[in-house]
Amino acid sequence: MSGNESIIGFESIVGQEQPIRLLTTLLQNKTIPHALLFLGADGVGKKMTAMAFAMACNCMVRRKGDLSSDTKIRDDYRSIPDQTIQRGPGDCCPSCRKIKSGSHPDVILVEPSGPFIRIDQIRNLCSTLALKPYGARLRVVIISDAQAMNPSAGNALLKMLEEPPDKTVLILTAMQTSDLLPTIVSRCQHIRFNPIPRKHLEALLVEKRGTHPDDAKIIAAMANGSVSKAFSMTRKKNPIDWINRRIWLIDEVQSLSKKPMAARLAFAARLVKDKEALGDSLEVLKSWFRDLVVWKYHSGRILNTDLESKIQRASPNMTVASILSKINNIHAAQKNIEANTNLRLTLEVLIMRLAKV
Amino acid sequence: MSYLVLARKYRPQTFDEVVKQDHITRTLKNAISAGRVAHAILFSGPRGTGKTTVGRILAKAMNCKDGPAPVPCNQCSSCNEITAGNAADVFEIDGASNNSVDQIRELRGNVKYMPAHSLYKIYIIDEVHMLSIAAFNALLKTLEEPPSHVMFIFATTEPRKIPITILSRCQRHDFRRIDVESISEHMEKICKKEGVEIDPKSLGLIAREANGSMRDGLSLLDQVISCTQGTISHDHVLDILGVVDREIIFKISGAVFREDIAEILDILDAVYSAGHDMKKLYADLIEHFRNLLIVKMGEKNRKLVDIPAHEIDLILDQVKKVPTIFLNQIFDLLFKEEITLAHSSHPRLAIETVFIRIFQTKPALPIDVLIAKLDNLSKDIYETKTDFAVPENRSTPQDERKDSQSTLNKVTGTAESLETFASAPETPVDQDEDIKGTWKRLLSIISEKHPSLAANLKNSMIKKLADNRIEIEVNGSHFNINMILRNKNEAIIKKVCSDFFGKKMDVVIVPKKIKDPKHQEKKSQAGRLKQEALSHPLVTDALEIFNGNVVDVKIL
Repeated sequence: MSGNESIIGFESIVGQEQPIRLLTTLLQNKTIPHALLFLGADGVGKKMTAMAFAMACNCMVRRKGDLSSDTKIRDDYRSIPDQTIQRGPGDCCPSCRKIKSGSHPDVILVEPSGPFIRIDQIRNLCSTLALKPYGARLRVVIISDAQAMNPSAGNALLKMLEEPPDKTVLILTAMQTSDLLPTIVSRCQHIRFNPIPRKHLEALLVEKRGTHPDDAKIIAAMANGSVSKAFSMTRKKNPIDWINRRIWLIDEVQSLSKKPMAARLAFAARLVKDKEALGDSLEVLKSWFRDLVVWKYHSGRILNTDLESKIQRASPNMTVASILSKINNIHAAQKNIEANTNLRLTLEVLIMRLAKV
Repeated sequence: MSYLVLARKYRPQTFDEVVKQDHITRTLKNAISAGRVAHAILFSGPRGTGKTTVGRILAKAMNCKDGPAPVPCNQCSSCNEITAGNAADVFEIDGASNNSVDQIRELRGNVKYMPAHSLYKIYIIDEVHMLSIAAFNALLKTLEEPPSHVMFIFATTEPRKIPITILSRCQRHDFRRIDVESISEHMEKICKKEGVEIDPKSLGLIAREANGSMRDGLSLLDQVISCTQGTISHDHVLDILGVVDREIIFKISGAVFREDIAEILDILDAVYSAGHDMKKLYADLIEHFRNLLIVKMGEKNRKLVDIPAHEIDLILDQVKKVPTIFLNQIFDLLFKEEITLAHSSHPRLAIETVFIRIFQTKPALPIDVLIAKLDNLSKDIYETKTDFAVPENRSTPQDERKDSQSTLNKVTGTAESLETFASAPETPVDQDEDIKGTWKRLLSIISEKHPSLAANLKNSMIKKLADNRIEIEVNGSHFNINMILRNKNEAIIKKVCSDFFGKKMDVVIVPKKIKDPKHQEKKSQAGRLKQEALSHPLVTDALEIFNGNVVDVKIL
């Protein structure tokens, strides 16, 4: 989710009524805790909400009287949301503009550099926080993808997370509590973000991206409730045309058993070639096999609704046990890929296993 | 002052306020009044049980104005400074971010100076497990014999990461998990102080969610209080905590027992789109099935289940018709798949797969029933062997046998053949099967007396079996065939066959033709190639130049 693409402000966040309601109550009751943990799948708007929250905490609109007095500050939270709508979100005051452009000195964003958030980043953060804020009413630290903190970084954050200095809020975002240190989890108040409903996603794609409604339906199903994933799938620059790729993948896998060995290996090689798309490709296959099983029990619950006729044809030809073992095979391959095994070998083994009837 | 969360606002300031850690607070209080406080103390235990808090209280008690006192006054400047966190003689060090050896050396350098105005100079090192090995080792000497005015207090959640040399120099106190009741009691007190009304049922729920940690409980309570306006309803609490309602869990287990997979898929979908943590749901499910199992196991285990009475009734209702062994199977499967789920990036898909797998497993029979049935089976075989004519003389009733049949077949593949063999031994079996069986028995008779002959006969088989004529096809190397065709051996085979069938038999031994024409052709071709290679001018030249000789010729 890149900042330029999204318009900031609570109202632009789709499908997250519940967390936003919680946050506004926190603002209204003036009971903002010092540490918040936003939980939810990737790309459902956690970071965007955190930014919007930072703005709402620091917006200067309608702030009458003395600028430096803290007592006044919290009195006018209630008025902020409607003001923001009137002026256009993120443009109401210098503070919001600064936050939006990422140059506000008291809104600190910590992101993974490479695969991890390193201990140096956390140490820097702690030493920055030891100083007084420059001018914000409430300093906001956003640590996005907190699960990327390696153990030493996580531990280094603990003390700060438990008792940060005055006028400071730490917001952590993560997928699940189980990915974080329990000591971190216990220090935060949790706010859950739900996956974006498919209908919202469809509408969003059609509206923002001008995607064809039929395509939008498919992409929304594939994106698994994640806006950023859906957007990245429809991006013009994206070399992979996901709609056609999905059909290609499924057709290939279904015909694997009839093909000669050379063709199977070639298929594996092609999968390996698009390294970035590999993860998603495997997920596509997994959801396809899942649908094959689910069809047998409850045809209304399949995910790939546009392929219903295909599933209907393919499903009766396979036993539940064999499909389950295929899902397991894909799963094992994913685990191996994560463990940095040779991609080509892993994929070849996987494809050969999938080819078994 | 900005808003303080409850966990910080109500951080205990005396030993007596600390909940449920009496074994530690009492020890420390006694030690203080007896003047026997150790110079290095290690607090370990799960998150949110009071390690840092007790550390701070201990520091206060030691440095209080009136000398070490079991109850710090919380009024003198020393106590106030420690509460505010700016005492000159109490150093609260974050072990995780100051973990290098240099920082420990600096600390060592400062240890020798006297405290500014208190009795003791106290170092509280929190998260001490994150110190590097070098840092730990640099600390060893100081920790063993510090100056008399120095005290070390360590706090950690992971004592196993601390080197034993450190552990042996410290007095160690292990904090316990706090039980649900104490947490909810404490929360009730806080709610009263805050002037908040909350249903005891909701408090119980929060306490259960806290999982033995007071801070977790208070964080949740804080969230519930700050996110609601007006009265706090139970549904609202459920909603905020993101707890999957118990009802849903019961629905899932009910659907499992009814084998209604469609319903489970529906429920999972609903739970997923509500944004619940699927891994948490899974953990809840495992616990639920554990409860089911324990309740099923009997009355006297019931106190091991930490759930309200009406839920126990519900459980009893659900498991009435479910055999224990099936519950056990489900539990096993759930447990086994937990690892898969932990690594999965799409937990929903993983959970669905797990449930589909559960539907694939059929309830197994208890092992004692199985053994009883096997016993009966073997008894039958025994009986039929001695007396072929009385197959109905069975000890088990026929109907029970029938319903066991399907499961038995699944469990042991051989059971079926045993069964047919036992119940109908006289019916002519398939001809091939019969011949093979006969040959096997023949072989076993031969091997008893003439093992070497039997070894040679191993690859052979009966080709034809007529009334008084038996044709044995010998398959093997030349050596085998020659051995068998010896007069002496042939006579043995003849005798054995005659004895076995009870009449005189003609035994014909036929060697199997192994030399097919293709093989021969290949061989001759190989010879030709070898000859060709040897006579090749290049080879002869090479032999001449290097003065060598040909060792081997290989055909590739």
